Formats: sequence, C-alpha cells, structure tokens
Amino acid sequence: MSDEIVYKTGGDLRLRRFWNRTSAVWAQPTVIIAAVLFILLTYLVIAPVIALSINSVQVGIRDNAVIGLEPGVFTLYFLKRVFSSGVSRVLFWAPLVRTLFVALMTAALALPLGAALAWLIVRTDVPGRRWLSSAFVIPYILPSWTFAVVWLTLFKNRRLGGLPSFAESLGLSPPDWLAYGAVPIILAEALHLFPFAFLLFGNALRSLDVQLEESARVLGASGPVVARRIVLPLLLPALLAALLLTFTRVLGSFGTPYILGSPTRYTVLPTALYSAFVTGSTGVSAVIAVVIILIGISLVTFDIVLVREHRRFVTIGGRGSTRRLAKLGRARTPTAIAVNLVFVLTTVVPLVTLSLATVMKRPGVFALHNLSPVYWLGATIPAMPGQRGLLLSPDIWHAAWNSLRVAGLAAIFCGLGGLFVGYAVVRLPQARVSRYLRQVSFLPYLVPSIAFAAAYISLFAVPRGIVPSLYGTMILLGLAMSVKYLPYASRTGISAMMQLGNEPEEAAQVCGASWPKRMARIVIPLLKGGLMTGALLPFITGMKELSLVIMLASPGTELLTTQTLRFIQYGYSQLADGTVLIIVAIVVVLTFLAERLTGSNLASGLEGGA
Amino acid sequence: MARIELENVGKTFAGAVAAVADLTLSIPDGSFITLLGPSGCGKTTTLRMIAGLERPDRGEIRLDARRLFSERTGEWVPPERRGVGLVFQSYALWPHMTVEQNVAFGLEMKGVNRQERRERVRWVFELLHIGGLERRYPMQLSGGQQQRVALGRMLAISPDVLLLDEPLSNLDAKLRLETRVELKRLHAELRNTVVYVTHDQLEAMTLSTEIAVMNQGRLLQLAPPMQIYQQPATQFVAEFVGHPPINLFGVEERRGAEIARSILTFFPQLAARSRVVGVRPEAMVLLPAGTVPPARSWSHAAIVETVLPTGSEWIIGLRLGDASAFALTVDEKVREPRQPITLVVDLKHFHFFDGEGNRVD
Repeated sequence: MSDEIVYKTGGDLRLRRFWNRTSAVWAQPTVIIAAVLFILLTYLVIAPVIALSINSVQVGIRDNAVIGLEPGVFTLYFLKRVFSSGVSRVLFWAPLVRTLFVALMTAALALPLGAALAWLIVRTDVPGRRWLSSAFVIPYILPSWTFAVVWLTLFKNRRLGGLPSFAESLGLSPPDWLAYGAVPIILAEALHLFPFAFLLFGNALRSLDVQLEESARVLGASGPVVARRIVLPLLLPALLAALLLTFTRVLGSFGTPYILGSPTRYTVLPTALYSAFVTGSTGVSAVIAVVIILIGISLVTFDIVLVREHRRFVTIGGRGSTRRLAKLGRARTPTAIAVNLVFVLTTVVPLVTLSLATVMKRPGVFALHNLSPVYWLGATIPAMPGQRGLLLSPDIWHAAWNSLRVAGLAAIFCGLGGLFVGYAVVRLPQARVSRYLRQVSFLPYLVPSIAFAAAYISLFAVPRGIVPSLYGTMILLGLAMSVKYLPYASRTGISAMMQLGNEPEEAAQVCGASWPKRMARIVIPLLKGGLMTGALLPFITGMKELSLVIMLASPGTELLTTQTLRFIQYGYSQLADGTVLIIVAIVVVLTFLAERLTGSNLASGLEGGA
Repeated sequence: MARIELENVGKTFAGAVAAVADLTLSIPDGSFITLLGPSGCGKTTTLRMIAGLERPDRGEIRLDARRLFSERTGEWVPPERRGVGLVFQSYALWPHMTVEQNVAFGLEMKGVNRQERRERVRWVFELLHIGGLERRYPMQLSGGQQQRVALGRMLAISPDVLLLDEPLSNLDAKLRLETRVELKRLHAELRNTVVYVTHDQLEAMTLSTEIAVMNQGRLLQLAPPMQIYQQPATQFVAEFVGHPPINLFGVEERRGAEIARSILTFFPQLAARSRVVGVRPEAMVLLPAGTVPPARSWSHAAIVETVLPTGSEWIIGLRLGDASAFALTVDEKVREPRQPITLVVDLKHFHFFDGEGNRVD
C-alpha cells in the first residue's frame, strides 16, 4: 500500500526517498506512542518547572497590591526579598540553615542505627532475623509524619490548645525544646528514615561476595583487618547513598516539621515555602521552591556522579558458598532484647499510643471509666464543637473517598505510563528521543514533593490556552500525584522491557500478529508483574502523601492526610490520631496484600515512596 | 617442601548429606593434582578445607609436619596462618583496589617492606605478562586479565601450596587453552604444590601429574592422567573421563545384553564377575562389511547411523543389533549413513566392571 502512496508523490527522487523514510517511521506504533509521550511529558513535567521559574521573577495577580507593579511585569523584587532584605533571615536563611542542620542530625542518628541493625541481622546469629528484617521496614511504610503526631499526643505542652498530652496528664510539663522544634523533628525523621539505611546496608552486605573476604583471609589478613580494608571500603557507596537519600528526604518533608515546628516557629525550607504560599506571597514561595528544586537536583546529581565513580565497586556475586554467621555467644540474648526494643520503640509504641489516645476521654489517664468510644462513634464530641466520631463523620468518609480516587488515578496513570514509557524507551530506534523520554520521566524524582506542588500551582492555577484553571479540583491532585510517582513506574517498565527483549514480540509478529494483538497477547501479559508493582506502589504511597498535596487540597478536596493536618490545626489531636490510624491500617493492609499478589518484596521498592 | 596429607577427613553441612566422606589423600611435594568430579562431589569443599575456609568434622589435615586440623587433638590453624594461596572461580579481586594494590595485599599482610614489595610485585607482573595494568581497577580488565591478576595476587606471597578452584571456567575457549599452557609453564618454573579443582576432564588430563576423581564425597581413583583414562578403577571414572563417552554394554540391560555376552565369551575367566563391558570409541575399528577380523579381536556387524565430522576426525554413530554406540575415527573411508560395516575391537581394549561398578581384571 505504501508503494502506491510513494508513486503519487511524483518523480522527484529525493522527495520520494524522504517520504519513504518518514512514512516508514510514522507507520510504527512505537513512534506514535513516543510522540504522544513526548508532548504529554513535556507538558506535565517540564512546563510546570518553567512556569514556576517564571513566577519567581514575574509579578503575580495577587502580588500587585503589595509591590505596586502591574501583574506580568518582570521583577527581581522576590529574589531580593528572599535573599537580601530585612526579612530574608526569617524567610529564607534561617530555614535553610535549620534544614541542613536537621538533615545532618537525622543522618547522624538514622545511619548508624540502620547500619548496626543491618549488620546484626545479616551477619550475626541474633534470633528472629527473618521476622526482624521485615519488621524494621514498617516505620518506613507508615506515613512519614506519624511519629510527629505521636509525639504531640505524648509530649505537647500548654502552648498548644486542646486536650492535654499524656505527659501533662501525668503531671509533667515538657519544656518547649522537648515538645517542639529541632529535637523532636530530628527524632521523628530519624525514626522514619532509619529503615532506609537498614535496607541499603543490608542489601550491600548481602551482595558482598564472601570470596572477597576469604581471599584476604588466605593472604594472611585477620578478621579486623578484613573488616577495615575490604568490607568497609566496599560499603562506602551504600553509606553515601543513604546519606544523600536522607538529605533529599528531609529537604522535601513537610508534615513532620510543620506539626512539630509550627508551635515554636521552627521553620525549615518546606514549611517556609508553605507559609509564604498560604500568606499569598506567590513570588516568594516560587523563589523558595526553585531553591529547593536546585538543592534537590544537585544532591541527586551528586549521588549519580558518585555512583558512577564507584561503579568499580560493583561486585559480581561469586558461587554461593554459604556465609558463616558471626556467633554472638553470651551477647546473643542482650542483643536480641536490644534489637527487639528498637522494634517496640519504632513501631509498637507509636501505634499503641495512637490507639489509646483515641479511646481515652482524657489522654494519659489509665482508668477503666476513662475509656470511651466517643472519638470513633460519638454523635457529638465534648469540647470539639461540630465534630462527630470519626466513623460517623461525613468529612472523614469524604476524605477517604477522595484519597482512594486520587491514589487510584495515580495508580492507573502510573501503571499505563510505566508500560508505555518502558515500551517507547526500549523499542524506539531514535536514541535521542528515547533518552529524552527516559530522562523526563525520571525528572519528577529530582523535584522534592512540596516544590513539585508549587510548580503545578504555577502552571495550573490560571487558565492557559484551552486548559482552564484546575486549582481546587481533584484533577489537579490526581495529575500532580500521577506525574510525581511516574519515575518508579517508568523505571520498572523500562527494566521489565529490557529483560523481555525483542524476541517474544518479534516471534508473534512473524506469526502474523498485528501490533494491538502483540501488545494484548504477548507484551502486557509478560509485563504484568512489573506493571502491577508500578501501579500498586503509587497507590500505597498516594494514600499517605502529605507534602505533595497540602498546597493543592482545599475544602471539598481534602484527603485523609490533609484532614489529619486540619484536625491538628484545630487542636483536635484525638481525631488526628484516629485518622492516622485509619491511614496506617489502609497502607499496611494494602502493602501486605500487594506483597502477596506480586510475590515481591515491596519494601525494597519503597525506597522512593513519600 | 609442601606435602599435603588428608586422613579420614569428613565434612557434613547442616541438614545435608556428607559433602566429603572419609577422604584420605596424600599430595606429594611439587605435584599438580586435580580434584575432578561432577558438581556437588565434594571437590571444592576439600579444597576449602585445605585452605582453612571450611572446618572439617572428622579426620586430620597435615601440611608437611604441621597439623592444620585434627579432630583428635582439636588443633585448628585459621586460613590467614596457613600460607597457602587460593584462586577463586570468580577471581574475587577487590574492586576498590588497583591491580597493584590487589597483588601487594598479601605481602603487606606478611609485613614485607615497601622496597621488597615493589620488587616482588614487579616480578609477578613480569611472570604473568600483565605489565602496564598496575594502576587499573579490576572492573577495567578483561576476563583473562582478571584471571591473571587473581593468580598473581596469590603467587606474590610465594605459597608452597597453590589452590585453584575452577580458575578457567569463566574464560572463553581460546583463552582457556592459552591459560592451560601458562599454568603448566608456571608449575614447571615454580615447582610448588598445586591442587586444582575442575569438572572439566580436558583440563584435568592436560594439566595434572595426578588426577583424583571424586563422586558423592568419596575418592574413586587417584592416578596419573593416562592411567585414569586407560585403566579406570570404576565404571563412574570410565564414564566421566573421555569424549565421546565410553560405550557400555550391560549384561542385564534390555538393550546391548547380546553384545555384552558376545564379548564376554572371549573372556571366560572374567565372565562370572562382570556385569558391564566398556570400550572407548577410538578403539572401535570400522572395516568394510564382511571383512574377516584379525586374531585376538572381537567383531560384530553394524550399520552406520550418523556421521559427525569434527574436522580432525569423525564421530560415527553405529547401530549394533538393538544397541547403539559411538566410534571415533580418522579414517575417511567409512562414512556413509545406512552403510553396513564390520566393527572390530582388539581384545586388549575392553574394560569390565562388576555389579558395584568396580573394575574387574
């Protein structure tokens, strides 16, 4: 058929060749998919960041009353205000220093803890290793700000309203430095992030070829020398990765510093961005968001460079000679107790605290008459006007429904996105386009969540062309979440397609299957596992997402997570505790179901979660 | 001097059958001995017990007069104090150290001073022809170069005993041959005791002064290569060594029993004890159909089924009544499928095995 078309284009040989080539290219479904993805991803990933950057140097609609310039005029006013003005210390410099301080201290706590636990569980005979290696991932599966909510429930003081905390009911009055600010923020972040170091070190230790150590032994190196000269240097990349990931995570984390920092105005960059945004300083918030993005990108770039630098560290696993576990001997029982204590402190205590708080009329009063189901089932709640028990509250049901819808949308988008990005990137013969698609689909990973939300507001808050203003709609929430989580899905999709190779599809083609048939009968069934993971992970992460959605949600589009924050803002900490429990229950159940379903260890894939 | 003696050594891994069962083996100084056997036969475990990376449950291991392990006295010398060299199958080069640092590590552990270390390392690089790679990292080397560095790392400490665990299995065919030549040259030059583990009979045959064939944790035969080939002590050894494999005809088998009985009529004194008769493919002489066989030989009518030329020789698939067999020949004349021929075997080329698989003479 294409022969006929060529004929009609006339006698010019060059034209005919050109037509021949282009029509052959465009006849491939891969090229069409790639073209659609090219436009879609450029619009959804690149455009928001550009819009944000422009916002940082352009007068916005809400700004003109303040600075007296017409909207749309370009100005350096916001840059000056953030970096060198009377308020820049409060606006930017102090939050920046605090962010770096919190990140460093969190790493200083989380890394040694995670590394020590990893060593105990991978290399020693401490009892219950199998169980503990999944148990230590739980703090990471919980929403990142769970510990912050728990902390308030346990230690908040009179500075905040609402019912007293456990500590106060016991007659203690926690000082401000203990109740709020740096100390609890660092603790909460460290408790949430230590599983990271645990997973990274554990995997590094496990993949370390035993023969590397054995050859050193044979050459006369004693145990300590082997540890210092062989094992430690080989774990260095894992250490750096854990350090950088901790930094990136703290840089993008909103919930914990907001909950624990606001009472004493301990502002870090994400909360500084948020308060600039809610007070209407669009330009200032855009500048801070750009700074966060730049720091985030440089951290990850640094990480990529380091990983490349340490490519030589990658070891090929030797034949599986069984590793002998270090015998703890008399220290075995005390170690077991200590290790289990970590589990109790990081998982059991927080969840039990939350549960108790929601069934006690007065927090921290351990008496039978104090128990009450009012926070779950009450038609009215004393001291909380207008609120009903969580299970009867239309707000909660509405928020839960919203959460499910948004996370579900993200799951579908990511599942399909992962499939198509993977297919296009691997199959497209045009290497440059393929590289562009791969990099653009990875870009949202580099942008910390709260800054990503700021970028989406910049692009979608005002009508642009045929796209109406999406601010305050569920579509915006779903879109932001879908694109933010796309990197994990497309990474899964690309590697699944790589493993699949061309042959199965080509074999079907030779057998006479058309492209849709090949997709439906060969490619999709073979990629099913990968696609499921690519879709489930966004769903689970989406259910507990806060940083990304806090600026996008509004009355009517509240999610379970933002609802929790509203309760905290009102001082209704029991209702906040209960809502967190609902989220935890959903997330934990989903995670275990997903692990059953896909037969994979989702925990290891959770590295990228919020 | 480095003479290794294993006495009744046994090793059982938790919950499994014995990896090595009651192994007694004496490895003379300066010999190149190969532990040959299928995977899981205990050869690597034996090697690792000599290196000190596995601790035996039973028996005694001695290196000259030194007891490395003894069940009786409880003696145990850890690997770092044995002074043996071990080259792993995966090479196990330290990826974070340069080639030079890899090679110098053992000398450093011995406390050799910097000057001497440099000389020694240079000697290794010259010996193995890997000069110029000093500053590279292992990941920047080809498989063959990695293999040489792994060898050099162990040779640097001049071990009296060098243990090699399938060192050639990750190399391509051409490189394997080159490295075999290299290993033989090194052994001739350095004269240390080498214990070599492989499942590749060609490596074992070409390299060793003696081969120890192992199966299921037991030593089946310890002998020079040609003796292993020509006088296999058991049916397993006969089958494991040789390519194409030895032709076996069982008296009690459904197919080939008639052939076995016809051969055994020539050996009345062995017939009562023998259950299996074996003949190597190259001992099968193919003559035109109807040829009268020479004296002291067995003959049988056969039909050519398949002809597989290898270049230097032909592997001929034969049908003998209800049995089939392989012949190996350099004779170009007989190679037409479906061609009837006469198969002739000199009587001295038959092997006999009893019901337990042991050789009958």
